[in-house]
Amino acid sequence: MTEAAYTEALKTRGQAFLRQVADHPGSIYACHALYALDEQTDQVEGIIKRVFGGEKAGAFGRVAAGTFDVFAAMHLACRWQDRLTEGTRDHIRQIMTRGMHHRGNTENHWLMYYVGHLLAAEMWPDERVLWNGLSPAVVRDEATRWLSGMIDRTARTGHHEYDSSQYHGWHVTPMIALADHAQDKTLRAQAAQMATLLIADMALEYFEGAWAGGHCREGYRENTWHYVGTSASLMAYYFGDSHADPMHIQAGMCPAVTAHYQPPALLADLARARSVPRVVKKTKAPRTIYRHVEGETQPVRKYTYLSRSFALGSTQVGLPGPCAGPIDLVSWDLTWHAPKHEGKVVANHPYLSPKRFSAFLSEVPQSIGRSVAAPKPYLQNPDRLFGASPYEQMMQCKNAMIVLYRIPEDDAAPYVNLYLPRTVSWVERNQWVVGHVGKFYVGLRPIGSYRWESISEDDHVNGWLLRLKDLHSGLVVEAVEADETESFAAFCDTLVQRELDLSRWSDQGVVTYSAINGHHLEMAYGGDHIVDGQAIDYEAWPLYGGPGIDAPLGTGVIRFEQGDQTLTLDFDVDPKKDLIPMRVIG
Amino acid sequence: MDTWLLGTGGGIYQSVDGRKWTRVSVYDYGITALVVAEKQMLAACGSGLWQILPNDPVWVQMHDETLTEVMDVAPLPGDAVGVVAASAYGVATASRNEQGTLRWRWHTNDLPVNARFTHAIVAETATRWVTGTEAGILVTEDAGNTWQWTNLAGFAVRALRYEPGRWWAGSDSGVWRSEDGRTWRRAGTGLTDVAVYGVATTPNAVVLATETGVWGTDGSGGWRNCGLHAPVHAVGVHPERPDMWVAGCVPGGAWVTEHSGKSWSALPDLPGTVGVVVPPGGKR
Repeated sequence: MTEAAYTEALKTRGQAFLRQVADHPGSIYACHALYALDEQTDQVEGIIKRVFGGEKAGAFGRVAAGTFDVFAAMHLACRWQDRLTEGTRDHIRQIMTRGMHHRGNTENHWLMYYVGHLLAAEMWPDERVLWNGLSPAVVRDEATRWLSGMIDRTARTGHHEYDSSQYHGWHVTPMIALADHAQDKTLRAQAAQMATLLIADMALEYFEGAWAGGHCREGYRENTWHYVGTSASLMAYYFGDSHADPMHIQAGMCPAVTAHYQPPALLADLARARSVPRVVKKTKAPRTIYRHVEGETQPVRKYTYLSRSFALGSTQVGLPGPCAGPIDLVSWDLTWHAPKHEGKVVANHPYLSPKRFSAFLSEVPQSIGRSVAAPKPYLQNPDRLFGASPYEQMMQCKNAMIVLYRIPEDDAAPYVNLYLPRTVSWVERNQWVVGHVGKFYVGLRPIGSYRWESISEDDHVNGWLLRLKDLHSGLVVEAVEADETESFAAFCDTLVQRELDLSRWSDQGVVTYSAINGHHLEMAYGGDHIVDGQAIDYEAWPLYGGPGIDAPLGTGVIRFEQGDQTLTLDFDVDPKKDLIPMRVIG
Repeated sequence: MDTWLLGTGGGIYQSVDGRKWTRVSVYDYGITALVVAEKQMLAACGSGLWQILPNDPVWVQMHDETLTEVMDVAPLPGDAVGVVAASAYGVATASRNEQGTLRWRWHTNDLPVNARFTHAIVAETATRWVTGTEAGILVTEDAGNTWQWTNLAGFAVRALRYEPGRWWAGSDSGVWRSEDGRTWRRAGTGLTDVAVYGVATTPNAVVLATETGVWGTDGSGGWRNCGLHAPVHAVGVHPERPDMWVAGCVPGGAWVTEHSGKSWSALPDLPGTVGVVVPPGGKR
């Protein structure tokens, strides 16, 4: 696709996006749509005054604002500077200079906080002090150090709050705001490159509107959906072949649509190129863990296989043992295009220790289980399908994978939940559960005993739940395109004849599987992952790997090639320079 | 300061009599520690560290982009402006750069993860600091350049109290005492399986804030329950009325007793989480 054609396509999709948002204005983000469409702009001042900086009740009338609002207001103030009424501008200025602000604790929080405050310090440089008693210059310098450091760190070691279908948009849009509006040219250029890299992250694992594979954060009971979070909005806009519906047009992503920044067309082509299967490898930064662990976390390694009709992705999470289990991490899934609840297979050990909360939050472990889960009971739901488990390990080779669990006897949830859509006519044969899923077939071989259950939780989850009941359990998964095998019956015949050796599972923790794809997988729980006799060397993985991708770890240089297009992102890093300390979770 | 102070989940509150409370300022941050000095107050919280000056409504930010999740803060003796901060990410001290901006230097990056998570810190001198961490108690004699483990290790230490020649530690395995901060022994009998979040002293007794309520010395080497069957995170004793205690619970708000725990009264109109209690005079 030419850049001109892509620009035109974005314009068309953008108009539809803005139309949907403008029809239901009310948020700060929606004001972008009102200005862009030049409709109801007289409402903006009222919306900003109502939404931004809620005044506390009682004698303490000072306004307060969280990171999302600060970022939204400053992005609006910068993008539509000439269109804002004096009242709107004054209100934003009042809150940014005299309000009370929160920095939050996740990477997206800090990114929005520092982008918002950098833009404010640059917009009002003559204020003696800002809201925090510091001068605009000091605020600007602090924000610049963190933002530059975060970009540098991401370019060298991988994104920390990586590939979050929920929160990725809150990384992309702040980078876009910097690219469009920061005064420092270097920071603008670096942020534009980072926005492009973050959009490339989505493109590499994009599957017809969904983001396939592992995610650091895909909680809130949405990881059996096809369209999830802010990423669904951005992917619909940037890549365009998903069947967008109002459910995944999020007003919060409006600023991406109205921005001057635009990613290269190559990324849309890359996202939609599925005629030939491809393997994508990624390295991501180690998780931040405060405590309850003996060692440091290791880098995350992702592996995603994208075929024409499905995608299978898995993760080496790099977590150093029990308690280190981020609450909304999703380590693997099988994705295909289908309505909500009908296009995912995923398994999870619903690790319940309250220490998994205090490993990432500073409250005392004795009471944090209740204090965190009381307002969010789904985080302790025994049927939970998301959240990392320290007892889950996996390996993958193309369209086949092995997932193993060794759960201690005293664990509060001594089982594994395997989610299967109801709309697939599942077949049980020789201990395989086999599905004919439209244009592809999938075989699932539970290791150990299991039982069919049903799971339904409002409209969050609705499907079959296979409860794998053995403490030492697991799953072998293989999916193939339907037109690559004679028939579904033939696929079933082939599958049950595969060599699956569980003889060393109980005493040595070793499982081997000779996949239909011709590769021999051998996985030792706590040991090597071997393909065709060769141990996978995860430490040798690049920052990004795949067809047409050249991105060695630590160099800050990422090259993409798609058809006759090329894209090089060079963050001009100094490999000897210390990385900025990571002081956020995510 | 001749008033009681509470650090709550929604800002700082003060009271002259321990019964009627008002919020100190507009800031509603969740407070994890307070340091009261003659000309300023320092407030530690999840988002960083703040300086509060008398008659100034604006709190001044002391943290930078590296300091957050501050659990405790201690003034450095002999240093008019120096402080050492304890956080979930370790221990740090500040200095001003050429622009006069505070930048934080980290002293625990080489320690294991659990030993970096520091709940409590006492600076006995400008260079001798004792820390209560998720992994036990560590001591530095050279302002954080090197750290030594003490015999109190292997579990979390969540509170420290120092009076010249006498140290107390509240841990996930009860309460401990020491003469030098290095060699620790159990204090009293019982309470070995109880998490102790705070230690206060009277002229004749020790009072503990624990996950099972308030406990005090019974005069014969043991501990007696002094009421409040709640997760008590902090307790303060009035310096001139040693029978008057204020306890902060997480959750459970704040409570006051004027009879050494014989009966407690809930303090209304306060946030539901109170983790810091500073009695008049400023000693936690």
